[in-house]
Amino acid sequence: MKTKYFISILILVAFILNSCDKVSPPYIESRDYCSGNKKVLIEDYTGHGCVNCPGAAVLAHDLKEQFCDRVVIIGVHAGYFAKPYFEDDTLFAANYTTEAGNTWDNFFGNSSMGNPNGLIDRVKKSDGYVLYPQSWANTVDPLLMESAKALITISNDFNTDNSTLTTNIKTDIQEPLEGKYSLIVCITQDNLVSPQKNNDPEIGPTPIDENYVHNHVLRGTLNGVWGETIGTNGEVSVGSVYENSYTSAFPDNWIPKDCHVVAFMYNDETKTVVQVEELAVLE
Amino acid sequence: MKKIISILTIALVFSASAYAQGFLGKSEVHGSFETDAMYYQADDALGITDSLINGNVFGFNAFADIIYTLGDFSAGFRYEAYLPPIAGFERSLEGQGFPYLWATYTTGKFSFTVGNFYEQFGNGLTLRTYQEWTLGYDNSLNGARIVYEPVKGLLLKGVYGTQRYYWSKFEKNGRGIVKGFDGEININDVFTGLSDSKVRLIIGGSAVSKYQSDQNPFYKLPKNVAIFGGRFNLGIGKFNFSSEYAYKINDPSAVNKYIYKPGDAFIFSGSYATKGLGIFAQFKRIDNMSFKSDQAVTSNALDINFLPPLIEAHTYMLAAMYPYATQPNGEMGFQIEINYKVPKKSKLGGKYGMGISINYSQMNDIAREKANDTAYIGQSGTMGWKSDFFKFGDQIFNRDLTVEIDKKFSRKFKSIFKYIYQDYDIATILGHTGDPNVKANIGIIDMTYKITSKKSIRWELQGLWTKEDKGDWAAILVEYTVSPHWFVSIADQYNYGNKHSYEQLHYYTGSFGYTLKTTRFALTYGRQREGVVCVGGVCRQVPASNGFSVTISSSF
Repeated sequence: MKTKYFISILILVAFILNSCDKVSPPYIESRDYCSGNKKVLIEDYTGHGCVNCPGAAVLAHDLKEQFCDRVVIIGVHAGYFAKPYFEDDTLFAANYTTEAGNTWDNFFGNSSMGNPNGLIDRVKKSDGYVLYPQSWANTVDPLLMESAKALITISNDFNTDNSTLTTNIKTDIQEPLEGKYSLIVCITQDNLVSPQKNNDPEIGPTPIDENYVHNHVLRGTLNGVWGETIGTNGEVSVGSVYENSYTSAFPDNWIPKDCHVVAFMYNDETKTVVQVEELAVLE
Repeated sequence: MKKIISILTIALVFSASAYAQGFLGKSEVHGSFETDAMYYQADDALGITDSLINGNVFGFNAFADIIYTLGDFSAGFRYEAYLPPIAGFERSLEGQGFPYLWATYTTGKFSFTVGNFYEQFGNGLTLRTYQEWTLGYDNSLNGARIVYEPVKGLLLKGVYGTQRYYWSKFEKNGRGIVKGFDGEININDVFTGLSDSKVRLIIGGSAVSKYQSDQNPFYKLPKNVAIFGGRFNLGIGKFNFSSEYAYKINDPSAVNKYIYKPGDAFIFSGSYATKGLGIFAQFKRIDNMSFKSDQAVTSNALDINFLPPLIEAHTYMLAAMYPYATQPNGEMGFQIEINYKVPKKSKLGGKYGMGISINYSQMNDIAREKANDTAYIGQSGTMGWKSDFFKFGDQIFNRDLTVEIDKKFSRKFKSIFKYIYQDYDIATILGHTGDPNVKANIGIIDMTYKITSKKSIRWELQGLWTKEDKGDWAAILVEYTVSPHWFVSIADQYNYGNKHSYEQLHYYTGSFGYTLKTTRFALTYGRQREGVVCVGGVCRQVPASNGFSVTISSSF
């Protein structure tokens, strides 16, 4: 009988002992992400009062590089940490919030879950849309392995005389798509310098980086907060190319050379982004 | 609902079977309920505006635990609702349902559990699943457990399952699968000749492994990560010693920023107790010991193991201002406590005696060196760091000296006097980057006067003095109790020393409660200050709020 106990224990211990993988260096893998036509949208929900947000911005930037520029970033300033005059401090007077950002934040619930966090192609997982930065790479990777179900082409014409942008968006449907779809076209801006709370000395001064450079900042949408439907009332057919054109006068604080047009097509019901594209306002 | 029906069906089947076999005991149903509801209102002084509340004026957390037993069979479920969660609880909890369903059958030396269960191996260094309602924390395993006691004093346990992650279902390539084994032998029970020995020895060991697919595109991650632990508890007369050591193989994760060094943890406790005197000492060292069933998760969820705190846990309002949160990537410290009861009728003890308790605890960072010449300390994708096991790091996370005297002056009047000195690394623990350590002196007087055999009044006077963070605080609480049913209390915490005059606020509350047998009702109105609630070294942030809160709890 005792032998039986002993053997049972040995089997169990062996079972556990067998369950460990010691990894040998090199620990970092390198894969080729430069082939493929699918691009992925990272929306980085952030705010100048959020000490961990610079780290997330650096991560998003690194992912753009590591994924061979097949990632498009939008920095959405929304929620408590993005409030102008954060905690009544005049240092944080900047207001990067937008109607679109606030609406999306309210809908997806980002800032209520604590910044920084983000959306990856607005994919909804079993516990919601919001993903913390540590999950971004894992989520982007398999999406990039897919082929693009639609391709987006942007062409921009900026009239410097009246500071007006005309952008033309072509959406080319590559695969059959069920449901209804919309297109959101927005403007992002780089090189906005203003104070940012920061707790990572490797990124910049702590606890406040007074000359922090905010990149990919959402400045607004050109066709409404939720964009507009494409195709026939949102229904699209494979092989079709849908064209949309928008004209927008730039406010003084939208510096054309620092701005990009970001266009993305998404499923109206699931909100999942099918494809995203980005082009500098001044090509 | 289908699950509930399934459980009840299983219960009925077992009951019929049990009846047929003639060993049926009387079936019983037990349960407990709790509802915590908040109604929020705007408070300009706290920065809570109507637009910030944005219509979300209610918070509602509730649960019901039901346990059915019939002879050797038992089953149960817990219903939970967070609609929406009270401020400070994870938003991911929002929803309602039955996250905890289980059935257990015990026969002879075996016990089988299927469904959700809580389990702990030793001190928890290798595995502990538990639920803490006040934190909104639940890392229960959902799977199967076998407990086997072949002979008295020898206990073997095996567990297999996946952990609860809010309301998320287990998905392929999602969070990991946990399997574990624990064995514990009580020498005095197994060897009957030693049953009356003054030397009592318990030895245990455990091994736990997690399987999670490698979904990370940049790091080569181990799919199987194992942790091993060994422990003992030795009692020799009035002395008691216990210790546990655990070792974890490479487990790169978001918590340790994807470093590949193994982790380990060591705790040792020694105590001596005799009439009127108790001495307790403890040492702990943790190095890279976060162990979660999802390597990408950093929040308070999916912990497979538990790193016990080694700090005096304070409950008084101001003393709980700066609670310590365990630092899983590395900490090292000790705690010493002496309890002495001054005898009755002595000069110092007086007619009723007097209790004196002194506790000192200190927790530092571990000492870290570069793992090699080419990488900085903690660099992702490297071994992270090297650390001398016996060397304390320079950074003090927390130091705490607590002196407590409890004295009964008469049949009607007793009091507790408490002094605390705390040195607290607010930058590391609460993320207040750049802020210096808070050095606080805290004084507390807690007095109770028994008016009649049923009526008593208790009041607390508290002060916290510090030059750092929000400066000085004073607090008062007055509580009138008519036992066993009623209590009413008012309290105020006043941040009179805040360097910003507009933040020199009163955090006042008024409470009223009624208890009838096992049912308790409590209503509170007032302000709640921003802070941190910690239980067992696990913490959650609590935002400032103003409004009503209602708690109703009952059990049967």
